[in-house]
Amino acid sequence: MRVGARSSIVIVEDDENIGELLGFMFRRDGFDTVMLRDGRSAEEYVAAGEPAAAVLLDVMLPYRDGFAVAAAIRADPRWRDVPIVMLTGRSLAADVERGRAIGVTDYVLKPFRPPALLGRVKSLIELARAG
Amino acid sequence: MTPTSRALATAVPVAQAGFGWANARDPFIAAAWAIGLVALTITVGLALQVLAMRARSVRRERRRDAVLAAWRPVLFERVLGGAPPLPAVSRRDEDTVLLLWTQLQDGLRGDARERLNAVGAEIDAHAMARRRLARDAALDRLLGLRTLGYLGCVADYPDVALHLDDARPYLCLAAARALVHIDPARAPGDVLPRLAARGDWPVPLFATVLGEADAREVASRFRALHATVTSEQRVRLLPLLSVLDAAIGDEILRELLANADAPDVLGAALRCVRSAGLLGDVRRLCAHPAWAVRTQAAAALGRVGGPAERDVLLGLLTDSQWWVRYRAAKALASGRFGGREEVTALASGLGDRFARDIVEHALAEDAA
Repeated sequence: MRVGARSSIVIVEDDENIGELLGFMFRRDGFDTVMLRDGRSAEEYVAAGEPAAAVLLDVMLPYRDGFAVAAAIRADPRWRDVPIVMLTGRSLAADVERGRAIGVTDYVLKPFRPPALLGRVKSLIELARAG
Repeated sequence: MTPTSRALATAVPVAQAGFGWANARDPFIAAAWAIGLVALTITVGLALQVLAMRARSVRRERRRDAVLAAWRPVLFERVLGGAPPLPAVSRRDEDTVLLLWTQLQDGLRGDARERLNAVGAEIDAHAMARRRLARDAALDRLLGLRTLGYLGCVADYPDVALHLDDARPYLCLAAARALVHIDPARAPGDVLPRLAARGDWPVPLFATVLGEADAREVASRFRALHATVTSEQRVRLLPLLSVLDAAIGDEILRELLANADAPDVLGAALRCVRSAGLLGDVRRLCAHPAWAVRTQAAAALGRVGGPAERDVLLGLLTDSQWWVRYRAAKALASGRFGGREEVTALASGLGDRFARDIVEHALAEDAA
């Protein structure tokens, strides 16, 4: 399995304050972060940018929703094995079912506990690197 | 004659003819001059005002950005367990800080919320919120209600509850949410009766809010209310079932499906069926005289039924109403009741041209 060598996290979140908090939390823990605010720019980044260690993706995004972005990530061979964690504030069961078909790695329900989210993303990155 | 002297020679008669403000003898021309000057003055005044407003807005925006730049890292560090000192909050920056604080509260839970509340206590967010609640502007009140809700001070409950009777539904929603945060067990008793009575309240949004309240209290209040409201109100309240425990929701639905008479109530209840435990009632309603009820019963069978319901659905394929046949065919085409060929053969075996046609239609739609 090949994942991005740099410990960078792509954070796609349209809520400015929550996005900034996530960026702060991951940077505080030693990661680089790429902050994106909508689905279209996320797809553009995936098409042009280097694969990240993980992608943190909100479900509800402007232009293209999180599922469309996740599908674009999985369609790109360079990004295919990068863990995708979806932040969902909606019915988790419905989102899990929809995401499973696309290849979403994990889900975190909003509102979330910051340390739990950080721990989950870090263990997914370790798993991806080990696998 | 030089060009300058020629211009002077023509200018004198023009002035004498009254084309100057000072010399205008014709009252119409004087009025035109006056109107022109007033219009010019107003235009210049408005342009200056627009410029001043723009400058004020840019200043406000810069100040907001500066406050956020100072507060975000400190607040984020506090949320994550650090203890950096908090910057001072001036009166005019209170809105920005409170908005940041409430937006973080919206997205976080657990220890992070408790730490935010500790910050709230340090900056006296309670006093800021009370000041906003006392103002008339809706935005001030919204911010006040949200803040008081997250602070969760029981003494604020009565004042927040007063806003449930506000004419503006969005303020009522904010008040309901604040009440649920302050006292999750008491809030359903205040919110639910008003939700039934107020036709302008968006029930699905209130259902989401009540989803955070004490589930047992919501269920018991909902059940009690259900017995007293009109059938129209019952239909309106059905989205609340989504936030109840599945077993309690099924119990309420079973009661409705067994006892309700009105086709719109039955149809709405059938639309909420998500559990196979209600199949007995659904099957019975497939023979209801109202075609709208039969349609929803067919759709419900398609959602939760199994092979045992196949014969009931096949029977509905020969219904006199197109919508009933269509829903039954869509259910059969879903794959839960057999493969394409099997369903087509079964429909053909009914000897009814309409049944065969509608199944072909449904299969073609699903294949498209």
